[in-house]
Amino acid sequence: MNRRKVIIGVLVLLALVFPYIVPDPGFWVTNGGTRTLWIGLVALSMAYLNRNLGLMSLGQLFFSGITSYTIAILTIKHGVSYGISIPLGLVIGTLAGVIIGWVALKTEAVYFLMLTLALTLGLYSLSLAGESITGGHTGINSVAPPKIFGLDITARNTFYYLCLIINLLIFAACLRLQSSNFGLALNGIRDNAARTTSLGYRNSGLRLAAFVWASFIASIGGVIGLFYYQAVTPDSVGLARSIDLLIVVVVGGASYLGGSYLGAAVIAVFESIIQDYTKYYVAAEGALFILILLIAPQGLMGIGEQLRKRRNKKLAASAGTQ
Amino acid sequence: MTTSTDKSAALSLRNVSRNFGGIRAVSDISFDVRHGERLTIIGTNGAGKSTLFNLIAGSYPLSAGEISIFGEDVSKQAPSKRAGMGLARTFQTSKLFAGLTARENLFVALHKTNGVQRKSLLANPAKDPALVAESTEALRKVDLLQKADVRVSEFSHGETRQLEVAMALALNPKLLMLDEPAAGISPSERGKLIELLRALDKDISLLLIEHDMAVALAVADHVIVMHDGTMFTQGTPDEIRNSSAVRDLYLGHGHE
Repeated sequence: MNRRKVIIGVLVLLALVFPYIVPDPGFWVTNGGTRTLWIGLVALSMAYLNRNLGLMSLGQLFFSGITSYTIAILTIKHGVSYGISIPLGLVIGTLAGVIIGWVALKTEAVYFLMLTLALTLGLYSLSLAGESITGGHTGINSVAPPKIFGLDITARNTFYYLCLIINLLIFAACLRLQSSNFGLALNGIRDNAARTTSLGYRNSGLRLAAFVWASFIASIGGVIGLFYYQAVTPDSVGLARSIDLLIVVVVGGASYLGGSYLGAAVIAVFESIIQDYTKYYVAAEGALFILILLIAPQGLMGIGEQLRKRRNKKLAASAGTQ
Repeated sequence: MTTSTDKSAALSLRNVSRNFGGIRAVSDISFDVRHGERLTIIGTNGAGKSTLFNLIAGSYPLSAGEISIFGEDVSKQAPSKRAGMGLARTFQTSKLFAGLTARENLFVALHKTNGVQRKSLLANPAKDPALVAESTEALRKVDLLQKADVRVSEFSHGETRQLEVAMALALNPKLLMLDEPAAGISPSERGKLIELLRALDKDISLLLIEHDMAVALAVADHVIVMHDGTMFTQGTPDEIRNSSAVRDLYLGHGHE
């Protein structure tokens, strides 16, 4: 437990000094650092659902997208101030989580995956078709970022640190929830719903709360994504990006919350480098994905557990031969 | 036989039946568990023991009859309501929370002691001295304290059975129902289990459903033998031990 705290502390420290130690900060702070934080946050909402409900969702970009579009439409098209549109976007993204979670949590496993996939595809088609509102396939561009206390938040380092603070707060909250009665109950429901029922837990209410929390995280990811690209397009909520997120979560380790960031960092760095060398970079990414899964089926974060189990097995085997 | 339940009993069944399709799994069972009594139900596989157990816990609805707990008719009450009245049950194999540690399993149970939520859902139980002390006490009772922080998925079968008992005891039940706690455990673990059940607080009424005769007879004040969903016979452990009819039943011949 203490070793974990040390590792987290070192990583946070590294993240804090990152803009000042990285070579070519003009490129890497944005394409490596901020991009990892943004992808990592949306991936975290997926990993949170998988870890706690045992459900893999392809619909987290739906909540991000709803939030991004709400803000962009209100502010860019109708001149509403960010002070109103951003909170409203978050509320709508989270409320969507209440309604969709209420329906989606009645399904299981592959049906849940299909239902959340349908959400993503639905929003994609809507944003393409509703041209007069969403700008069609070019989306809504030139999204000027808000100024906070006169600060240009999209200035490279400012935006990085803003994203870092938001991610640290959300991740800390997730860890806190994990060890709370709520987190233990969710894991209990995942392992044995009949037993938690007979103990007097209201399983569906707790699961819905977890789903809504994940939707809220994804919505925050939508705000960051909107200002990262200073645009929102159908592609930012499309199927291809949902699959990218799935790869990020699986590469990092779908049962570990921290895996989202590890996976996001690996993919962000790999994409940034490989694009300079080959136009077949998507295929290269696929090959990397397969390679990692062969070596570490539980994802990169699972390697430690994997080694520990192997060592225990060896110990047991050698004890058996004596 | 009277047709209304006994209001002074911890548990009272009257003419309880349960059909699955055309099959009558439990037929017309009536008995009482008095306050502090240890009652064991034995029977061969398929005798209807587990069905009866689930009827009492509320996992299955009754087809006919009446069940009351501490004088209150619970025939139509949900399992959680029955838990709230002081009824704690164990489950047969692998019904624990496998992804959590032994202590975390207890935290999940303790958080809802007798169906009532004790602390905020957002509180961290590992930082609550009372919950830590109670979980430690429960683990100590079943001799699992050294495994408190091990994930249940890595437990041996016997250890999961011990933790099952700890989970039920942690709830401070007034009526404890154990579903084949001795199933699949080793002889040394069985001895420990008998010791543990004998040492239970005399305030707890105990209903034990057990296939293992040795455990059943060592713990019980009174034994009911089930066969084909009906009550075959009943008596003290000595009477059952010396009954040739029961012996024949267990050896697989006789009774038609």
